[in-house]
Amino acid sequence: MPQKPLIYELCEVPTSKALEALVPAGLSLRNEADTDLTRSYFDSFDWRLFHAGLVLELVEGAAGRRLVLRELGRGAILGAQHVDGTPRFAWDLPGGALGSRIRGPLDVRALLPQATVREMLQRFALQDTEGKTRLRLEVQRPHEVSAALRMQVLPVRGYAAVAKRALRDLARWPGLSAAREDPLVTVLALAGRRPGDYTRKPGVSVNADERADAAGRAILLELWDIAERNEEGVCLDLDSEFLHDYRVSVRRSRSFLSQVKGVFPEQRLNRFKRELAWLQEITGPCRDMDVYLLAFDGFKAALPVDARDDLDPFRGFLQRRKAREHGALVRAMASARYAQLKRDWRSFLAAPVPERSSLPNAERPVGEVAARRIRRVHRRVLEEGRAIRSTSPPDDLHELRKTCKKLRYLMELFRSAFDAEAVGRLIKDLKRLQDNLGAYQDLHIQEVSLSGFMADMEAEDGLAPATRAAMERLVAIMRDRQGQVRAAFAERFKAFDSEQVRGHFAAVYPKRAARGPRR
Amino acid sequence: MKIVATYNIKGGVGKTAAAVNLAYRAAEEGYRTLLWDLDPQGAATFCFRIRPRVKGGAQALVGRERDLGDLVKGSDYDNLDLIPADFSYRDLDVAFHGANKPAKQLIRLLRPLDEAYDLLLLDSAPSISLVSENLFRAADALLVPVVPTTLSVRTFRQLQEHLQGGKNARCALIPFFSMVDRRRRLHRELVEALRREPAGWLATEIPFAAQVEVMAVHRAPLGAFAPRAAAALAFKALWNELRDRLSLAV
Repeated sequence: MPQKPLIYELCEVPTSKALEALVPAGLSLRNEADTDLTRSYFDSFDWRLFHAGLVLELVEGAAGRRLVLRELGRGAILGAQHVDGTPRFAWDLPGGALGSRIRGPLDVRALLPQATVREMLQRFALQDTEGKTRLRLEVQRPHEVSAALRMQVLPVRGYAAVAKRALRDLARWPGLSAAREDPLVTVLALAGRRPGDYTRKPGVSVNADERADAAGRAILLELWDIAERNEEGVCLDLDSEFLHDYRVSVRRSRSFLSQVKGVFPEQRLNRFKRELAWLQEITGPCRDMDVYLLAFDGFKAALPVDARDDLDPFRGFLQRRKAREHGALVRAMASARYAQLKRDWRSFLAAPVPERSSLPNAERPVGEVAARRIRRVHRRVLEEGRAIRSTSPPDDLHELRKTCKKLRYLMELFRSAFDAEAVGRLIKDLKRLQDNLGAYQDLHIQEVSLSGFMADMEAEDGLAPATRAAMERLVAIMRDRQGQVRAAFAERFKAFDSEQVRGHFAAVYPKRAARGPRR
Repeated sequence: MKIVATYNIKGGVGKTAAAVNLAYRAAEEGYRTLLWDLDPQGAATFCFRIRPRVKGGAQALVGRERDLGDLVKGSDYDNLDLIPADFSYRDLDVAFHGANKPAKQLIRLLRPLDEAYDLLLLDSAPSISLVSENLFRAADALLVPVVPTTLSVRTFRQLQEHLQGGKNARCALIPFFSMVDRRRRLHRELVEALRREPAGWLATEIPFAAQVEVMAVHRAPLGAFAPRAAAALAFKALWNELRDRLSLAV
């Protein structure tokens, strides 16, 4: 298949004479009926398909609804299929042309309509004497006046010569040019948006020499923006990741406030610290249920085949409880307390920094303040980790996990004030340790909670003996796995505590950090 | 990729109709589907309006001069590709005979396509030959249309016995009743009697219907020109059953 672009922009609707000129001898041009249709672009909230180089369109017209997956930019069709409803998750599609391609990138995120255009579609088929289509052309005429007229070339596998010839001839058409950007980008731009306009990672850039209080406000403000952008998805429960991103943002903010001291007046912060803790608290139970529901297929797969269906009542229990907790969360987010917090927190963060501050770190360069804190938390990680023996209680690992998280957040939040690439490498080192601690903690919590859930299920609707047996089996499996994960800890920690990694930390976060003008 | 061969020793039992319509239905559900028309008569190829010609013929394929993927033609339907028939396929037996490991030629040829498709349907010519031996080894399932007549049932028995005696056949035998005419007492009685045997019969029966013959006039699968016809609905139901038997991920 030729690698030329397949999407073109046109100045005017092509005449039938111009189209006829594209048809080689032995083939004929068939004009299929024009159709009025709606083309909606679907992606996850955080643009996972776009970032994977994919564009998913839902095309709705009199002939029904068809999902089309194509390559971003060039426009080659990767898969298409008719659908009855609108699939919300990748697993709503069979594992075929579309499903298998979007499943990886989309993961657990929901497909959401990002933009819609109404258009008149003219379809042409270049057919041989058998009536077999060897090439298709589509002229898309958007109803929106400012939108460009487009032609999409749709080669058919096994008939490359026809496509090659048509693409060659098209290149000579006056007023036709390869689309400069993907139609998705153009359509979004009409609405003042661009793909990839949400990312869960804060991207604010701070300068190492900047005043710590100013940099702090910018960082916290961005974290709050991320949280607020997820609110709607949280309340509508579009998918589990809205709440997850919301919580991560809140946790990062809390971590900042507790870790970076002497930058903001403590007495003003106290209320915000309390309120952010409250947010963490009201979102927790709902997230817990999401975590169990996401892990459910894995739970099932861990059981022997004949016991798997016995676990299904547990899913029902989780779903009911999730609905309950979500309802409580929505109510909390609609409360006056929450509205007040939003107003006050934003106005605190948006206020200009005072020219002079009596706080010890407020006017110091953020690079210095952050490096000192990161060094200290890093030291704490090492101390806590070194103290862990094979006989240490799970709580010790849990503490270490929390300290690692604090370190990770600090490194991420202040990344732009240091050598970002070197920080990235250190984060990878830290992540390997965190993965081990996280897996251990999750298994430990799940083992404990499962027993609690069994008691709750028993109390609510009664617990069938088969379901109880399956859940007990699961508890045993978790305990077993915990042992394996625990055994791997020493080695993971040793790698993180190596001279090399410690050396890298010292180099990236030196004791005399990049010094800005001290006032 | 799951491989299903529509197969029967006997001809005229509805193999091609099954291959064409099941392929259409699978593709419509979104599965990346490939239909290889192995029958030199090229009826399936004709139904898709594709020219029955393979450069170099059977010999070039077996002689490794051509890659199977180069022969694939896109059909006029989403997710559905076809490898056309060629009249030289009548000599496929001879070509396979001359090759190293004659009974594993099909497996070798299909290997490069494994990742590209979810389902491959092989529409084979009626016979029992080296090509059939290749099918038995390559396919996950043999989908066997059985017309409820004495002679058709007799050849089905022959196939059952042959496969039971075979050493290398790993494929499942999935029979279904084809071209059933419920007005005929013999058809009804045979269906009823055979269903009592534990042969894994699919529940769906494909009725004897003029619409199926009209396919060759329209040169399109039933679903494309008569989606509400009884036979089209029967193939749809047959596909649903087959999909579950194959445990294709839904």
